Amino acid sequence: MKILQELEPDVNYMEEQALIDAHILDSFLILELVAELEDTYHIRISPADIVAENFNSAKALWQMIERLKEER
Amino acid sequence: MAYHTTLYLVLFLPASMIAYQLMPVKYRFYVLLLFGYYFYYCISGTLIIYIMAATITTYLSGLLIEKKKGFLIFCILLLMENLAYMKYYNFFAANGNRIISFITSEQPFTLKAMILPIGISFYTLSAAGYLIDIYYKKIPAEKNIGKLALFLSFFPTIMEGPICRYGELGRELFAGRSITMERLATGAQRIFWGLFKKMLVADRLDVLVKTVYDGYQNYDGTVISVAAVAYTIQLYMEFSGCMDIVIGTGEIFGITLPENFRRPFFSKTVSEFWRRWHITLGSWFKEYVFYPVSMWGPVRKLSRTARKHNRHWGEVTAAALGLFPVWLCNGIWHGPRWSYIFYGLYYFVLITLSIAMRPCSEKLCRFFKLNQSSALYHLFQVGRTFLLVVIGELFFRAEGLRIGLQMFARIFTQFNLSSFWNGTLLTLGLDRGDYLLIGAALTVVFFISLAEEKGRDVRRDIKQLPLPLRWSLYYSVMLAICLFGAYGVGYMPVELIYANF
Repeated sequence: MKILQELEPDVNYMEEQALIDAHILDSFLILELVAELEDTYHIRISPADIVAENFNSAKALWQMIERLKEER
Repeated sequence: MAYHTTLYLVLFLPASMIAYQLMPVKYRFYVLLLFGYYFYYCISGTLIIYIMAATITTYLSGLLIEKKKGFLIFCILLLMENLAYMKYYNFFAANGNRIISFITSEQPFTLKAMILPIGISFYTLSAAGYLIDIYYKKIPAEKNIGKLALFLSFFPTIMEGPICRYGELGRELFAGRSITMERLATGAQRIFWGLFKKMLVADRLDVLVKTVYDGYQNYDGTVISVAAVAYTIQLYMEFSGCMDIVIGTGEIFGITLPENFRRPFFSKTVSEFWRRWHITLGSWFKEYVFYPVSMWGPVRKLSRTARKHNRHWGEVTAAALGLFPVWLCNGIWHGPRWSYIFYGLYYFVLITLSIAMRPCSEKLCRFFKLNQSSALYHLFQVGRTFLLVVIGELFFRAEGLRIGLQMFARIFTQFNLSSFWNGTLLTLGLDRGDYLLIGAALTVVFFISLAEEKGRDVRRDIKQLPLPLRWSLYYSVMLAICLFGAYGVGYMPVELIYANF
């Protein structure tokens, strides 16, 4: 959540369910987010993971992180 | 048989609808396939062989990649080979000859007369996307070649896109939904809206654009500026109008096609503009070029190193490294011309600069105490974006980069304000009535777009109007197309611009 707040502080990440579909996170912010998540959680995110279902909400992001941590 | 012609709207489309509706649900997609191939044969003749070859290649490649992922690059190259050869051979041969003739007097490459199959750039990207999605395990390989053939040759999308994803369109195409009165009315509404945009505005502006671009030496900077704005409007009205017809056709068959435009001229930045203009092309490049390149090992490493030294410049590096191939490909995708490559790189420079200058512009705004959320500031941003887009389109439409540069230079060296009122604008193929009509039609489009921009669902609002009012509105649009559409004596038929890409 802290990583997300740093990227785009004006968004309510607890509620927001359409970070990608509503164009809140653009492709540059996604790249930043990916770099931050990879550094923080020691995971490897591939281009195939960058789909709306994984990035539309904080919850979806967390589920992706958990999955990638297991696959590590 | 373009989408706005009587042949398509009065004969082909109704015939396909009747045949589709009469067929049992599970075989309906075969009707669409048959009509797709017939449509393609009508517009391309024997060149239909290329789309058939591409379909077979894609089908076999999909099955292969599903089993052995390592074949992706080979299969993509195989698929792109026809496009690369037919579209770009002469460009590389001519430029190769030019370079070699500096050293020796020889010109080793022979230029060849080639006819490009219509839609090749669109169906090749759709096919490549299908293969990459199999590689990423987003979709399984299609086992029925007929279904894949339909995906690549669905007649509304074959000339100008939108570039579709198999995972999304496949489900829609094969559902065999019935044509209902509701679907027919919704689809027809969208088709007439597209015709309104294309025939009232785009085709009418074509005369002015052609006159100025063909004889730019005879006109001053003011007229060239007017032509550049006119071309930008023409391209939008033509391409988005055609997409309305395409999407409307899909709606009749109960098939939801992806939107290609989302009111691009309300964009506050150039990046936003490209998220709203030719959306399916932009998202194709984003998904299949930008992310894979930006996340490719060496690029990732370089961006990470830059980020460690300076976070902002690390972000700029990552974006620039990913954006360069995207915009190079975007430019060259439009055609084998330096002006298209320039057009692509123009946007690369603009977007990279906007990211690089972000802290600087924020500081400037704070220094001048500019309220970035004020309506006036938004208006300034929208105007600035429009201006940058018009400059890009000036080069895009010019017959070559050198001519584009000469036209651009004339805007500054020969700007003559009096051309606005001394009658010059009436010598460009349009009379006062034409200008008034274009102005009126643009006003209608603007207010509808503005309402949609503010979150109104205009189509639903119209559907909820009382019956007499609703049908009066429909008849007004139809009547406007019949009475004021640009066709008949004195008008040359206007080809679909993007069908040539």
